[in-house]
Amino acid sequence: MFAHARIKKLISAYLDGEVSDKEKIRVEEHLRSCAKCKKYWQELQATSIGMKEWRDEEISPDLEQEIRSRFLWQKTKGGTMKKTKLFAGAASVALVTLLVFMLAGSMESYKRNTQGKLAAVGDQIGDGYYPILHTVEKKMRGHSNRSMNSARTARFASTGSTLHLFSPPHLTSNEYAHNEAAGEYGASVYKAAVGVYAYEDGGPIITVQPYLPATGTEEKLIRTADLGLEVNDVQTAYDKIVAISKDNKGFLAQANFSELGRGKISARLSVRIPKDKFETTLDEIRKLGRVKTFNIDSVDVSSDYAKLVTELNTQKIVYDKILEKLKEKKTDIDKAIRLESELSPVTKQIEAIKAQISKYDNLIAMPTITVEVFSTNWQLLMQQNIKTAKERLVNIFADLINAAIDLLPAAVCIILLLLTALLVVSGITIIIKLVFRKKSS
Amino acid sequence: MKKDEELMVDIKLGDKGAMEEIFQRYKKPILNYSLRLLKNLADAEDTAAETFCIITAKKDYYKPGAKFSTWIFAIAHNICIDKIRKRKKTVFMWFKRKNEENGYEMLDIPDSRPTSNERLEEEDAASLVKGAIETLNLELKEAIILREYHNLSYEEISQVMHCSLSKVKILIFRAREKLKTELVPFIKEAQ
Repeated sequence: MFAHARIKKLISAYLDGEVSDKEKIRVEEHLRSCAKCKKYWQELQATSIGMKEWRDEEISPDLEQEIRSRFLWQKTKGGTMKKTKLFAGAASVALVTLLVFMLAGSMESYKRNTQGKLAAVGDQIGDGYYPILHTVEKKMRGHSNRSMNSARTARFASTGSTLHLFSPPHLTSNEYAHNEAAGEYGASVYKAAVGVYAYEDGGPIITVQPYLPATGTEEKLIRTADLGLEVNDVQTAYDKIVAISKDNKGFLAQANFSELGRGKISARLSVRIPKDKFETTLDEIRKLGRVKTFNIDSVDVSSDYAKLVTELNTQKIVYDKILEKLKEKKTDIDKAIRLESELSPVTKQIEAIKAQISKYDNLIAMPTITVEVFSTNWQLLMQQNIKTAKERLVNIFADLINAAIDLLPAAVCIILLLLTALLVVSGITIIIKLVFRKKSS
Repeated sequence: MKKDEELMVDIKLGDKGAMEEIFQRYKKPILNYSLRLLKNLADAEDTAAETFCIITAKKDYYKPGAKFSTWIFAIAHNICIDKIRKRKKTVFMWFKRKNEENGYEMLDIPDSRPTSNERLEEEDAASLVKGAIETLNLELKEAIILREYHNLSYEEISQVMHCSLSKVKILIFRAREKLKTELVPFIKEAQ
């Protein structure tokens, strides 16, 4: 037996013919046996018939024509609504963005005005007001751009052998030759015949043919190398360079580490390497990264060195002679004192020359390699670029707002003029209408 | 006579005569369905016009084989629901007039026919039914309207109202239960 609550639902569906055959049989059986449910069914039927009392409205011909014309000629509201919504969305996004930048711009404008006023007040007081300027001192200005080609190359042809040396870059070939001949830069023993030829790289080449053979002293070259390397990690490269110099029996002479602006990190190292390991060490260091700048310089100090040696020998001879005189038995006390006083500056001179020679020896024996390693932190660079762009946008808006503030009185005047014009025109229209109305009446 | 579905195929091919035929067949059901749901003639007219506009504009969205009456009632249903939602959002600041609800003047169409006792009785009966239907909530009202006045099957009603078949059964059952108590005079008369 069905529960009455459940059968009631089925009776409603039975009334509409929305029951399965099985359900239909069950409902009909139940209705035959249950008077209460039969009454319920009759009530529902009566309700359904009663509802029909609300009759359909007829459409008037006018209304029909209007609807027909609308659906035949008008566009759908749905489509236009979608477009309107899209447009409204885009417009609101643009408006919000504009408002954000205008707000930032007005804040910046306010800040500027405040700072400007403070400066004016400060000047009036006499203290002077200087806004804090962030000056970033660039510790590392990059390395010398001089390349190997810029160093002037002079070739000395002596008996059968060719000597390569680099001349001071600030002198032209002729000046160099002149000075060379005058003995300022080289040994005075040279009497040079100088010829200038076009070198294949464009630089001048000087050929000096000495009358006398070379002094016999060996080649004295102070060699230096500058290297700019871009690496992925500065710290690792730094450690490797130190290790390489140690392996080659050299040492780290100088180092500094700095973080430059625009996402650049840089380290500068000077390492001293034994003369015979110079080339191999340079090659090893070059392999650590991408070579951006490379410069090898050699300064020939052979003549200076020879000069110093000669002077030392001369001084030594003077020293020996004075000492010899002092040792003579004939020398009286006065003479001895005078000789003593002459000996002292000679000794000093000898010491000074020795120190100079020793300095040269050191520089010649241990050439210097200066390496600048740097890497670019792209993330930092991007962040800084975005920050700069934002600041620029804010500044633009600040400028615009300032300009608007400046133009405000003019704009108010124009609006007032327009309003006055509008009032006058409407007044005239009203008067004309009134006149016409009176005439017609 | 061509079936609705066949006419719709013709409309897709650009036949204006077929559109006119569809309009003639459905103008009255759609207007009355909207009128019973919205109780406002202007809104009902708008709904009817918009429904036919959408049919012409979105004819390519109609799937051949689908029942046309279900599709057209589903479109009208969506428009009506949209209008009801908008009505709720609108705030009316003006004073309310007689027969006005939410700022809308409600249906009270004058009849030009001569008044007679029979006519008055008819009017009384109609207003009793209207009042009874008005006591129902929107879902119950829509389900019973589609069933009683437009003869849609439960399956079609579920498609129009975007709900399950079992829900339609319950909605119609509950609507009838409520109406049964409101329409006692008819029931007594029948008995």
